[in-house]
Amino acid sequence: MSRRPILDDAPAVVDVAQAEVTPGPAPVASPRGGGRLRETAGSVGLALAGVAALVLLWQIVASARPHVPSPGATLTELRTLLASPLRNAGPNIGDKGIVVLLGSSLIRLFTGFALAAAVGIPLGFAVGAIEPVRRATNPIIQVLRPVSPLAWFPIALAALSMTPPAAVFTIAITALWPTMINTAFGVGSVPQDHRDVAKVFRFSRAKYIRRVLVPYSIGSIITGLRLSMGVAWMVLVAVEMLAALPGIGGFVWDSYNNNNMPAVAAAILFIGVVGFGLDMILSRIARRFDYSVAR
Amino acid sequence: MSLEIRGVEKSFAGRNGVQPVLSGVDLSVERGEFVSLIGHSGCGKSTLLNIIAGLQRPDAGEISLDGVPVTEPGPDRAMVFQHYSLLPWMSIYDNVREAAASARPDRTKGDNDSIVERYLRVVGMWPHRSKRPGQVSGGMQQRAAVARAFAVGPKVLLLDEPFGALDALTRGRLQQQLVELWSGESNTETVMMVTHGLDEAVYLADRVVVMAAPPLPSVIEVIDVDIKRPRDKATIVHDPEYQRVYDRLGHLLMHELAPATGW
Repeated sequence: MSRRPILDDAPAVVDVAQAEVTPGPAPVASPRGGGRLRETAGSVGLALAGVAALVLLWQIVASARPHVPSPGATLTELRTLLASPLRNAGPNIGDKGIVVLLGSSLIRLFTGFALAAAVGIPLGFAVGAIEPVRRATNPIIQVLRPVSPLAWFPIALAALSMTPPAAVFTIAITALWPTMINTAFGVGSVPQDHRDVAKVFRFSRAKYIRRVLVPYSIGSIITGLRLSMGVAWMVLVAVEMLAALPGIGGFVWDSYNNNNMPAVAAAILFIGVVGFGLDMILSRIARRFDYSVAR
Repeated sequence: MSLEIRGVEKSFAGRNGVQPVLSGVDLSVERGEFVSLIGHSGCGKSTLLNIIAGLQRPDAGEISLDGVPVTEPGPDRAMVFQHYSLLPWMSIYDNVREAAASARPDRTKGDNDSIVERYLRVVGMWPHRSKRPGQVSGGMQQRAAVARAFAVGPKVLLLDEPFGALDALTRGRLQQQLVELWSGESNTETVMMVTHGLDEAVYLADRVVVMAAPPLPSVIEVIDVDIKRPRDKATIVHDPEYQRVYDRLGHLLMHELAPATGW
């Protein structure tokens, strides 16, 4: 058979090739001058209106009920807390600034979270990829998953005989389930198309894992981590309250014991803002692995 | 490389019990032939292609290439899938290079890279090689998939409705590139293509295999297309041979094998 270059570097082909390029989303032309700016201003305005309505409602409830901290008292407390956020004058919760307490909580959160990822991701791969493993573990997972992670705390406390590692263990249990289940789901749902490609082109097992299984599942894994982070942050506050640990949850309990309700309200704001920030970071990471292709 | 299909049977277990898909398929494809498989949905043409690729095992019967039975995928065959099936997290270049490298471990890295470059250039995808599949059109994705299949250097190329999802102009250009690659640039000798298009089947093939779903026999008729190459897509429709084959296919598919439920 003759060997001749076909359409190689032919301008006509290049033209077609160029024409077929689907450009990224074009910048949306504003319908009127400054339309986008106006839209942003509108969103900010509505958000401010929502906050204003909440503060008003809060003020009404606070004036009607004793012990409910008023917005004004909470604001004063916030100022006090932010005046010396890095104070670390002793081992007690009262000796520590709010940022120091949040830092302790975050270290606890990340330690438990990392433990959960280190166990949950490999386990999820095994459950998702190996059918006998899935069948062997499914009943266990289904029964243990709905248990409040706080129920594990006494056992952890008794076994580890110290509160800080017991709290970390509880966080790890919390984060384990969503991480493992989502990893298993991703690994177990590789489309037939991708598997056929790997078979026809004879990918080795290692190459299949590296080039198909892991990149396909990474989105589900990150979703699992994101869900885990959300729940773990909630449970952490509860564990710290239960164990009176120096951290944001311990601070809530300490403030309650000192009858300082404005500090509890201020802590709620801090907890919410940090949780929101954590979720934003993970959703940013998740977006990097979105290949915007039907899966 | 000659392809022998002998007494192939295949059934699938479905909700309504065991559904036969292929019954007693016998077909010989000579070295250098271009064969189209055509038939209504459910006639098992894609299943037959998958069995030849080694992706599925027949319940009975045998596929052999030059007398050697086929039981699993091998570098003597490559496939172009209906949905392009490029891996979306890899660049076009990596898609082609990784597939060719793992199908052909006998090549050196340098050899493989230069073969990959050659085919990406031939299909006009070399300038777009660093893009991800999601960043280019369907036509460009399928060109990359065609390059990927040819880069393996297969003796037999299998195509499963490769151009069905493309617009008519892109389809025409890709059909032309496919024929040129097959008859010139590549070592590929034999092509087997599943299609829904009568015109595509006649324009491309030396023989058209008309298939039907059970209880009819799988292979209803094999029609020779005696039109010399190179063929011109624009004028071929006036060729009496083209019209004869086209009419025969139309008669078979629209009348004799038309689904009983009507369209």
